[in-house]
Amino acid sequence: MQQFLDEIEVCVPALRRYARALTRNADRADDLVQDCIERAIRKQALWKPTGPLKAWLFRILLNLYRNELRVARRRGEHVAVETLLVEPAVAPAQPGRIALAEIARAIETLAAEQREALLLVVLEGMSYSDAAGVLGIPMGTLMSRLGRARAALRVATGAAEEPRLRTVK
Amino acid sequence: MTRPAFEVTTDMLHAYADGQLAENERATVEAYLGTHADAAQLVTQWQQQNEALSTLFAPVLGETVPDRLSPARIDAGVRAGRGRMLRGIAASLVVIAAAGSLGWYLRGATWAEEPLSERLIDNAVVAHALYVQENTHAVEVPANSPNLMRWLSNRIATPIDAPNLSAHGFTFLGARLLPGETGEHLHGPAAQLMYQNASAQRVTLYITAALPDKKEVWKFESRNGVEAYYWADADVTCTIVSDLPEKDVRDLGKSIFEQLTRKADSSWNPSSPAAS
Repeated sequence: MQQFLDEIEVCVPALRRYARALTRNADRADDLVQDCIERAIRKQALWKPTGPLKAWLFRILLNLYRNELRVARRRGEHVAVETLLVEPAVAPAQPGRIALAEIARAIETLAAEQREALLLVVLEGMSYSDAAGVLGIPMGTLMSRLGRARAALRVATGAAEEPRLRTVK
Repeated sequence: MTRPAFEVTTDMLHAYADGQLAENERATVEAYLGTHADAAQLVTQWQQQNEALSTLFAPVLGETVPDRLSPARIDAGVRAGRGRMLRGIAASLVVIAAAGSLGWYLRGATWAEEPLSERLIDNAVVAHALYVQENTHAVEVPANSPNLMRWLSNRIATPIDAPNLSAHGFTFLGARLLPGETGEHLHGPAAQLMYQNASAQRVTLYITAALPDKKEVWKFESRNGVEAYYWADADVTCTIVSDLPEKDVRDLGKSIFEQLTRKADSSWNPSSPAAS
């Protein structure tokens, strides 16, 4: 048990980062991570140490996040940000770089499913097959979500030559 | 299978930007990008996105993780929540600690009429609740320490050996010495032995020297979600505490009884009514 807890602890900073990037809200993110750890401990008996613990934890975290989104949508809270209009982007602060405020605003424009996929790959450095496993989608679906996420970010950061209407789904 | 050097898919461009290509594929893509400026610009933009995202959220990794996200702490909470009793016991411990001698006075007044065996079971259940949720310090002395059982036997003034419960899937974690009864119910210290199985379920044995009456007593009690199995004979008292189902605790009890008392099977009489 102690070893199991230690292994979870090692993953906590990465879980926090991913949750923060998904929610852009520190408290909500930590609530998600806390629920995730608790669920992992309760379900420890269900975890067969065949796969990496980290991937399992991310899967739990994502399920919790999606549940939360569903509940919030039912309540009519404004959490779906994919409907935001894309603002005309300003020039990057430094040549060859994207300003952080700009990328922060740009990820708000992504559909939730695109954000989930892109952040797993980019922030966690997860291999495509691991990320597809965590998201519970086929590889081809992961790649198309990545492609759409990156195209949307290009538009939102003004990198695309001519801003065009982003297609969702 | 050979692949023409010029065949580069969009997926490969993504994999290149994400550093997920094997060496030979990377070379292929690099060669391709050298001759396709539009693709090269796209990949550069993706890499800039990656860099900006990583930089944006990197500070989270450097933050101090809040205490409430400590797995050990959450685990303790999960265990505490399993039996509602544990919270009650924690609360009563706080009250007793805060009230100091008043707490002890009340405790004595409330329980004075109860037989000493009830006091031992109470102590065993409280000690179980307190220590079973610990992870790093669940036991004072780990199981593999030399002379552990000799030390405990000396301190509780009765020879005991740690029962082997591996047939039931339980491993001996270690033990701790606990204070005994005080005041008019003076009784020596107790040894708490802790066991754990593969599912992280725990069992504690609360063992003391025999009570003054040296009577043979059996008791099985459910107290707020945990099972307490107590027996006493002329040498020893032992209370087994666990939140396992009653049947499992009784099975464990048989095994523990046989090993602790080194008595033949025939002495095992769990169905005899509680006599105290």
